Amino acid sequence: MALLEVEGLRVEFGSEADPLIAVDGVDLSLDTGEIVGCVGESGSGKSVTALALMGLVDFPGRVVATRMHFAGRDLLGLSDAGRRALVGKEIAMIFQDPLASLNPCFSVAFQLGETLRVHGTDEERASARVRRTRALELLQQVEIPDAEARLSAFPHQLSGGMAQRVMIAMAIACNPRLLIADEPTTALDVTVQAQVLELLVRLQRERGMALLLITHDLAVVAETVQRVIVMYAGQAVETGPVPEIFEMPKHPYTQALLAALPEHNVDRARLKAIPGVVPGQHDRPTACLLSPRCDYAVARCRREAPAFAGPTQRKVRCHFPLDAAGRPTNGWQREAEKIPA
Amino acid sequence: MLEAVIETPPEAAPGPLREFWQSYSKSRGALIGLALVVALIFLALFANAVAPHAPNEQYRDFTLVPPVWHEGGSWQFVLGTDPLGRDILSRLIHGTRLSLLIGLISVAISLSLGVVLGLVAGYVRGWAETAIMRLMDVMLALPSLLLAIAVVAILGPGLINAMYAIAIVLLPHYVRLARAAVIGETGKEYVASSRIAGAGPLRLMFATILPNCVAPLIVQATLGFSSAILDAAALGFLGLGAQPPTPEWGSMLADALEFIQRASWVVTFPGLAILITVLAFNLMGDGLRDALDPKLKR
Amino acid sequence: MNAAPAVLLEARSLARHYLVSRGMLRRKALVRALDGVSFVVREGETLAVVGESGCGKSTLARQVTMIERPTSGELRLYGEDVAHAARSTLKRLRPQVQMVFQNPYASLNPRKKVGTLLEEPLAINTDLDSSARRAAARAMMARVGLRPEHYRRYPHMFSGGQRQRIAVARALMLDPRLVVADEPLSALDVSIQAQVLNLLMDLQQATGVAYLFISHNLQVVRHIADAVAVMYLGKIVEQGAKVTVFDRPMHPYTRALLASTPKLRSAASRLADATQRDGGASRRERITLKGELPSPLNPPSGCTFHKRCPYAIERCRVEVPVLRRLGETQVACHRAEELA
Repeated sequence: MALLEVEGLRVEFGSEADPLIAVDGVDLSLDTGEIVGCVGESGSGKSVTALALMGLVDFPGRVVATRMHFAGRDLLGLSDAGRRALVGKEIAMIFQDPLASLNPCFSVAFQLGETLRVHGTDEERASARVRRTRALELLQQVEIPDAEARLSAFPHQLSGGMAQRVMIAMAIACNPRLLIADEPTTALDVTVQAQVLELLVRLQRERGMALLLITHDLAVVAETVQRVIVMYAGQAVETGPVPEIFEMPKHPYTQALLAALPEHNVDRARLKAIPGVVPGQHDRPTACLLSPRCDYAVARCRREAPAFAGPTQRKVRCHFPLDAAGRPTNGWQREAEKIPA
Repeated sequence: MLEAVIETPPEAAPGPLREFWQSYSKSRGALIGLALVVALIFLALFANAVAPHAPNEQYRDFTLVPPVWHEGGSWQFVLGTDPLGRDILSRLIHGTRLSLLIGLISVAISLSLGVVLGLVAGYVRGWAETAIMRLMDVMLALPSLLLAIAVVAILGPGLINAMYAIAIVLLPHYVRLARAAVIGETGKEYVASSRIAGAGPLRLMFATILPNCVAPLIVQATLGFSSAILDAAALGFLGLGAQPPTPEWGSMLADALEFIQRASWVVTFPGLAILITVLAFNLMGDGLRDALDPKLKR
Repeated sequence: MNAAPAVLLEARSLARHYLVSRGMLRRKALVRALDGVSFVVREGETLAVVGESGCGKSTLARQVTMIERPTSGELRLYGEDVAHAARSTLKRLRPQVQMVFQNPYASLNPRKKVGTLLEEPLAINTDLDSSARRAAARAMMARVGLRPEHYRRYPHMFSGGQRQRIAVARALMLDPRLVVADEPLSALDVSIQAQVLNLLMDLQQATGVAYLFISHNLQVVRHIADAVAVMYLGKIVEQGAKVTVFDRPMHPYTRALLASTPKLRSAASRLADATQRDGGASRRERITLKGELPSPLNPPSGCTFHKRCPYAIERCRVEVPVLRRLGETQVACHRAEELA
């Protein structure tokens, strides 16, 4: 049984009549000890998915799902107290901007201690001295130099990389079984990014944690994760293992994203950019969400929404998934002339 | 060949004025405030037509007539008359004109001078900032009413001098607000962008930065209106503002104080008028602040 | 053989120091944000400045766009000195150097319509009347892919990519010879980055404008740059043609930067690696640097990189390396020959 099982997750904001659909029917599953990457651009719904899993989507957002189970327990039906017992202890999350996620008024030791005070062992909950020792241990595990001195530091005295390590320390303090990392390195310099990613992978391996890494950076995902979910405008459009999904993408969006990277345009003067923009609240296409921007869109794409189909670990949401050579299959034929949208 | 940009349809992007109205009208208090202010402006503009009597006409036979719902009252003087036989309702309506005028002129003087001083202090920094801000600190250290009295004592009593006094009292608030807003905006990239485009200090201060500092200033100006009216009433009450027979609400209160037991309506109604007006402007100011504060918008 | 294009901008030992107060009772500290950089930008070419936070690239942008005067050193625009020039000279030269900023959400005045934003540089610097300015603005809008109706809109009605297009259009209104682009793509989505990068390259082809392209994204730099300068804590540590710096990086920091950049190991890039002299090893080396950027208030002695450098020796701690020519690039490292 998978550690995390999510089916048909849907998150909406705004009025019921004219909602903003942030997440539109996403399926997700993670096994213990697995690293999965969730890739997408802004508006893809990847961060909202993570927040929904943690129960952090506040009213007036509405979260529904066919199934949302963690280690056999139903996440949707949890009471507030039940959720508080779970979140921070068995499921932990780290965010993009570490300096904004740490409370500027309290020291590092205090904030680390806070997690232990709520979710720690009986010993940790009782004694401040035990908490401080444990906090020191945690800082050393996340490779913060001069950890003793850093315990009494305040967030504004830390650099971005240090602050992110402190966040990671807080997240792993209670040995969670699942760690969700929402763009953990986007705000960091590239050399620090490499250090932090290495740290995350090492911790994951040592503790057998499952890691859900959410990012827009395809290269980060390619180097770090085992399996990828590609999201677009709130939907999951492709899943697959690394490196297969990047070498032989099946969905035109994945293919287009890869093609737009400077790395894949080494000999060309111009990059192969995807025309247009991600649909917003009011111009959501009725059938396939990518159809206004897709190179291969035909009449069927504009008429019929494709299902998310395929073998369990390799699904695609497309009527004409691409083959190994990058050409659409399933009897696709280029239209004689494109019908204006 | 450049790719054309697919964009959101025009209806989805309202202009700033409509967006502002959508935010503003969300609050019922703000709408009430706005309605009251509009009514007051109407009364002020058309006082001559709306008021049943002339404000200074004395009806010697009808002194201290109670309001219509008391016994002895009549529909000729709906809110009763004062000790000199003048219709209170008409005096209140004409007083609206005076109060709004005081508020408008004091705030206008204060705001324009305050914005300029604040802009200079916030943009130029250095000794100019120190000089201006320390002067403002001194002015803030004095209780506002005492300061107003001091100014009027120097200039002499009268409505116009009262307006100057009130403008001076309100000045430090605008200066501080403008300076804080300018300092907040100057570090931003669009200012650097204008500087690189060649804008000189004057253009940067007034054309580039100032439009972005306007929101807190508008809110403060609206709330300043009510401060001005209260201060004018206080000065009038002390006999230092409007002189008799001008129907200014504060001086109406002063004249009526001895009648608080015998003919309470002479005191109550001017007081109520001040209350309602100040409340209206405060409600409107609060609504404006909620609508214009970008942090609340998200 | 074509002669190299004319030199547009030349910097020699350009430095900018700031005095920072550390409280009333302590002596002010000196931050050497820019500590003696020398480089050349030629007409129509792109010089990329690569570095992480704190390396001095934003300070450099401010010196080049003449909104700050350097503390010392020389800066010449077409041979004319701008470091010590009078205000009137700067005013005259300003139209030649314009800038595109990183954050498209902060670099456009929120209270001005797009048309006003585009016309402002013309209103300040030229004598064109309002209809001429409007025509120029509309022409530029078409050039960057904006629609005519966008003229009357406010910036907050546009997406990040569109705002960046507006910013680029505004920078080009005065027909500058050099545009400083300070991380113009960092705040944009991947697919939008490609659009804006294409726009920048097309405009360079059409107008012959030169770019000083500041970025920490090495993949983008590899695509657009002609020459690359790598900065660390206010100094240039390596400088040369793009191909040489990327394929044969000499300075340990450059190597670490290249190694730290995550890459998609696609079949295409594996093929590209196979054609390199070292089999792409320099790109694959997992050089994870120790430690973090030192505080600019208290930089290490000698080579400022020595505390994090895997190859540091005693000499690195004591002696500041000088930027010197080694083959086709310039490097500031004592051990550059050994490590090559």
